[in-house]
Amino acid sequence: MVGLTAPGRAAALAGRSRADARSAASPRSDYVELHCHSGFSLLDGASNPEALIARASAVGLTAVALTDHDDLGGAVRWAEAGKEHGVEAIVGLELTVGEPGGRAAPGTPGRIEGAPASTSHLTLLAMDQSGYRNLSRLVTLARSGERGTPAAPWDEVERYAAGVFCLTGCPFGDVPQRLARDDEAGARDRLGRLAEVFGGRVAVECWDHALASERAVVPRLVALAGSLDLPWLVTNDVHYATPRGRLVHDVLTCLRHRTTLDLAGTLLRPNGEWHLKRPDRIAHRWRHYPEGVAATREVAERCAFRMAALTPTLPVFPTPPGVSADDHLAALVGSGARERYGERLTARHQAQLRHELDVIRRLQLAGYFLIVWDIVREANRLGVLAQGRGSAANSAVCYCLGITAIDPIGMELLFERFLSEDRREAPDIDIDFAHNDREQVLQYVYRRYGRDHAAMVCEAITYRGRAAVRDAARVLGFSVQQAEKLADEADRDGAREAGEKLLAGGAAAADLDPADHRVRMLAEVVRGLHQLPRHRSIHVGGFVLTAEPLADVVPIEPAAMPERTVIQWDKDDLDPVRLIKIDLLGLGMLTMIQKAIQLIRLHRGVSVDLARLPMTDPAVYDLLCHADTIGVFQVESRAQMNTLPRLAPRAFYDLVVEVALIRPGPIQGEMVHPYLRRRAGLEPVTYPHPSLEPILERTLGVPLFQEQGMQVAIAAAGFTPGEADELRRAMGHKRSHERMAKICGKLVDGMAANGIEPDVARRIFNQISAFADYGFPESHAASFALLVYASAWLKLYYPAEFACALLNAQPMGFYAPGTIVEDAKRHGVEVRGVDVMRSAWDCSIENGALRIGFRQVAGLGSKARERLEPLLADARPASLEGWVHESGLAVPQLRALAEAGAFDGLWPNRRSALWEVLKHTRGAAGPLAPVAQDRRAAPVPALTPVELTEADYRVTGLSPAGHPMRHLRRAVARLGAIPAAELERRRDGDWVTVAGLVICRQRPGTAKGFCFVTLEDETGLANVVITPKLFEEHKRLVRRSPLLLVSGVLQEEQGVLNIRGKQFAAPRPEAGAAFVTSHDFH
Amino acid sequence: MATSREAQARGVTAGMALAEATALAAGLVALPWDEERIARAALEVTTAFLAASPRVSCAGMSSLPSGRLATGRGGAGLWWIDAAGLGSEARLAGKLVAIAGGLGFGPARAGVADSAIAAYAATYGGRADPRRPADAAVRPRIVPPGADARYLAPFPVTLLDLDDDLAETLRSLGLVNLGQLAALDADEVEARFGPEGLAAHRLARGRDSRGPSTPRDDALPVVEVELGGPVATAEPLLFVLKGALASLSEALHARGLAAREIALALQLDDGTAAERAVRPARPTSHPDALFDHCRLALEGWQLPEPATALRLSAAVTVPASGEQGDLLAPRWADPSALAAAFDRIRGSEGLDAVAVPEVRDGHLPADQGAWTPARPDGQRHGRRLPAGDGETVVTALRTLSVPTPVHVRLGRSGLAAFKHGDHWHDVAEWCGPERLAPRWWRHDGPGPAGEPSGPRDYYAARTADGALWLLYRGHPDQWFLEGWLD
Repeated sequence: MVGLTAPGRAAALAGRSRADARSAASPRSDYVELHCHSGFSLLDGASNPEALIARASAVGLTAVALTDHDDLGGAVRWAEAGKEHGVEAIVGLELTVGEPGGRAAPGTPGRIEGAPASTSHLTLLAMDQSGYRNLSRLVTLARSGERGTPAAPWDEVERYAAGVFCLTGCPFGDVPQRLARDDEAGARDRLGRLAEVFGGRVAVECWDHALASERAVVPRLVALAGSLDLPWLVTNDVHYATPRGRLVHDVLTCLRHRTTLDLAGTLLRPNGEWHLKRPDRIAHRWRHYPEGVAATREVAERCAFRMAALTPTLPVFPTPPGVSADDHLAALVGSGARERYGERLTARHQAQLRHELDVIRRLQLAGYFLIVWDIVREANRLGVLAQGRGSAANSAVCYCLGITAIDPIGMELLFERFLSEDRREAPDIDIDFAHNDREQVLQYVYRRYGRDHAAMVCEAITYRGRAAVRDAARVLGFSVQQAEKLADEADRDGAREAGEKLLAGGAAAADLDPADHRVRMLAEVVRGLHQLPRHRSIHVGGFVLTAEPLADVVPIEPAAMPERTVIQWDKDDLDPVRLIKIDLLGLGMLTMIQKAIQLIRLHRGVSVDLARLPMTDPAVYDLLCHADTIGVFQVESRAQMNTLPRLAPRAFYDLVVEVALIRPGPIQGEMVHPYLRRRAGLEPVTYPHPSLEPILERTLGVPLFQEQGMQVAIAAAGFTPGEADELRRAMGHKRSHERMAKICGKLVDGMAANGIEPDVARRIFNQISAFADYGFPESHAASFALLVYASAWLKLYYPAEFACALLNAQPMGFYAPGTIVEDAKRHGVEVRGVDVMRSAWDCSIENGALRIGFRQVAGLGSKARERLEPLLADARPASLEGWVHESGLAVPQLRALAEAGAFDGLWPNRRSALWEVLKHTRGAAGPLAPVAQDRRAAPVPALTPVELTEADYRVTGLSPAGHPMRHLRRAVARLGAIPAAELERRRDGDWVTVAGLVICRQRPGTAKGFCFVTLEDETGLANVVITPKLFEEHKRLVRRSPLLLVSGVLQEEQGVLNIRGKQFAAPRPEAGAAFVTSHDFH
Repeated sequence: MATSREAQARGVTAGMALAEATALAAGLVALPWDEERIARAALEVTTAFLAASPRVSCAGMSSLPSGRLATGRGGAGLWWIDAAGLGSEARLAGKLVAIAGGLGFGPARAGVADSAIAAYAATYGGRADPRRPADAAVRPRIVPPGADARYLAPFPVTLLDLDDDLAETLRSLGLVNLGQLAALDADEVEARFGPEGLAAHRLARGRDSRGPSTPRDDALPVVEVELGGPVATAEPLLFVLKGALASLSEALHARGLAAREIALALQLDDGTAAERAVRPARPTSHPDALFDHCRLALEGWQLPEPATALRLSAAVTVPASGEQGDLLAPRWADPSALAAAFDRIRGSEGLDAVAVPEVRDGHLPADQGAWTPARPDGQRHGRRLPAGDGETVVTALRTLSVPTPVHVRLGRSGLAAFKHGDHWHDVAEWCGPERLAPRWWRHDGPGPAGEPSGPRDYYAARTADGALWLLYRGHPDQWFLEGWLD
């Protein structure tokens, strides 16, 4: 074996100080860690801010600074965790400084991949608000260039130095780098310049990770600081909370460099010393240089900025001269009320509007409502369908402004669920827009307020089980296939649970040997990745607006999508810093409805006005009662389709209940079956307490909505509306035990004071608690119920336009195009295949039939669309040769068109057409290969019916000719399978066998391990329920097989049919793969 | 990666990463890929087959019609063997299978046909299913003379190693078996699928240019090169000569020979030939040494006509041998001498016996370099470290195969002495520690109970005699000597 000495080791030999051997003074523990990376140093920090703060608290650090690479994304969580643990949470960052351009040489540990080679690191800490503002601006500047290579020029650092304390940085700082290169004069110049720019706010940063290379530089850094009369201090350049964090950090390093641990070499750090160390240990190590430790506290005391000091404000909405925002809002609401209510406008309405406007005035939120109103108004002007959702529908003001479509007064909705003075928090208005056109609205907001004042909220994508297993397995050297097998074992778990599961049999189930050291390490790494940020994406629709430049509050960076900019904070970070978010969401169903309305107007000359739909049409409710809801908003899932016949909706409010009923909250709270039984008259309607009857009456004594929980607290325990909302929030998304205990005590005491027995009080509390987290607000359910009704109405009366719009709005909803088309055919819609002479890019209506568009052909993307649309608009080529030469499509695209039968009108027999197309595609090769004018029949076999269906599905995902199961019917009948439609003629308890394409697999967390599978055949759908035990036994088959044969016992309950699956088989293992895109485990 | 049957039973397959293979079977014994052993095995089988037929060639794995088939189950070998004029084809096929089995390479399969592609298909015993497990024993299949195309007809086109696009297009056209492809008109195929399609079409019709050949005469390696036109100057000839010598040298190496005399012949434009003998100072197979001699011969050669082809042969060879070189002796400052010495070592100790240090990327000293076999092509690896004055010095760490525990005496100023063997070494100066942690994901360190060992604090110590040693303190506070610096 041979090795070569590292230069540093040999060089350090001669000049090594013996200082370590000298006796020491007693250590002091006033060390403050001023250089600490969290997971927001993406793929370079292995602990979340909370874990670092918890560790800091545990080891006795009273203050610690967060210094992520060019990022303040963790700052709010850092501050909140600091508050919780009583640790002073200093905010800073490690800035990449230098001129952008060029890439970092590979193999530089600690340096961010892709960072310009000429760059260096600088640790900057916010001393006051101006300092924080400058840090935020610097990050925004650094990230304004090419994505992934942040760097701020030196002159910008100098420009934004006010209020900032500067440390010279890690070994990749400019000063230590120059010293390491023996450029002492350069180092002195740079440090001198920093001292000049930052005044007395500079210290030289030193470290000791037991490395010779550091030990060679540190004495020179100390000497340099002394020569310029500057302080020096100690940091540990922390990258993970505890020593075991090194494993995760190494894995993240490999992911950053796209390599494996075996190949990473010196890309990895040489040891595990980059953790958050005990202050006494640091003090002991530097016992001969106590000034370096003491200086950390002095600097920390000067860095007094805390995130709580931020007070961002909304932009001022322009109002007519001399009119305040409050008055302007009141005028708009008055006008809207007259329009919305007309003659129905009563004193009760006026009083509610006055109440809401008063609250809005006192909370100084008029500008916010005007901004949202303006956005909706612009969407209307653009013709983009929009509708408010969520708790905003509790507000009559929002209804009158046209933001929401539900009358909260008519539905007796609780305004305080939306806005409460007690809460003193920003309201949350979510607006859905037709998803294909939403970008127009987003760009309007950018234009209206300027990119300096408006940006979208980001979403920190964190590790969950599957992704953690995949990434860790890859880095540890497993193949992609093996990683997938392991990921299957992770199921939907979090990374921590997935790691545990691997050790508890998951690895063995994936055919790995649990005795192997690497397998054990895999489990540990997966656990360590739990909830670490992996990358940053755009929130589904959250926008923040500020009056001051937004970059003074939070760094802004370009998103991956063109024309989008995002802030570095997640939606959960906004409340603590009082930033108001407006959710501008995309909703596929609105696109579908918008397109369907356009098609109906175009082909039938009928104008559909959603606001004037008759909400009492019994035929629509019949359709819903029969669960004929493929493509219908919100009620097309397997669980909803199972519930519809039992709930048997006959009125709009039934739809509101239906939307809210099949949710984790009511399911976990075991409220679904009691409600359905009461509705069916199978059990009496009772109330936990007589005082609750008025509140729970319309849901038959079963609390289903968040508002009901609040109203119960008001009625039973004497809560104010604000307190009731506080209860809801305490039980909500992130439960705090302390907060829960406090408010629950108050609730139980209040109920006792009202004479409610303790056991009844406990029952009431449990019911509220069960759904507070996941239950819908009634207003939200009502908004969605409107769309349920509208889409069901469209499906009933305009099935062709409905199916056409649904296909054109894809991807959306629950079902693949093949299932949508089969459903349309069952509703009498004639479906015609894609045809180069007749199809448009989108699917279209042709004499009442549905014509499939080019968009359905696999391999034709946006570029093909750009080429095709001019051709489709002008004269289409009338020959195959013309299509080959004029369409600009590549051979595989032409092949796909031929296989889809798109040339059937020009050339009979798809394969003959392809044979001909191929001749012409090669015809342009040159004069030596002239294309023969050959009219002989193509020597290729014609498609058999099954091949034709297979080609249809493979290329377009659907088949106008018929369902694939037609061709397998005889084979599966021999195995005892009956058509799905036949199930209705069988009796409860019968043993049945069905076979079909698996179009849906679900195993919701609330189902205790049960798996629900939906099979589709040529006659309809069959629902299969699989017990946890049987699912485990047949997991691979059920998960993977596109075509299943299932035998089991038929269960019929209130008109709903399910097969309790007992035996499972794949009739032909390879069959069906081309036919199905199933909706799995969503 | 090739795999044993036991490993295959645990799911270990060819092409799998070692990390994954060990994760499937923790007790897996991993051996390095051994080209030499494989070549020996191929030679062994070829030689044995020669007892049954005069024309045998090993097509090897890369020559299999489908790479997927070849690499799917631990690797396979393929031989083309001439069966003409040898009596019963069935008996011959049985004999060949028995030969392979006797050498421990069973179960082998044999097929007999006019063309290589049909014979290959026939190794599947008439089942038109190339996915059939490779270890399934089947009776040799004999395709009647002239019936190759008919025999191939039911086989799927996947038997041919087509690129994905062509395969997809054929599938789209419904051309799923070779018979359908063969039935097409060749011109139409060429017009649509180009040369690749035409080649596939020929194979589908049983027209295959591959086949067995007579093994070369090992005693006289010959290399012939067409010059592509008349050449009247030495420069292009020298260019060609270099490549030809490399081939000749490789052939000599493969046979363990060195050339005492090279015959350098030129084919001239008028059809005549000119030849010279080149004799190096000592027998060698080193291409650089041979090139020097050949170049001298060429440069002084007056030719009546331009040359059109070049032919090199080892006219006189001897077993590769040589005396041990002395690198400090001026007479050994000769690459051919060094090469001869290395050849001798390789001849007696194996091809990997000559090794050079290679720099690798790692933190641990043991990870920073390795010995890698020095190939006869003369490639070398190494790292020169910058010295203080701009010169470079090569520093190498000689590591012990296993770090040795040592006793250490600590003085007031730290490391004072250590005891290696029976001797105490007084430390004059030292530096450290440098804390390095082993690869935590691999269990090949000295750690207890399956865990990697903890971090090690490395120290470099210079002893009174000037030697530089590398020691480390492991957990729990135990000292080891890892090696010394040259």
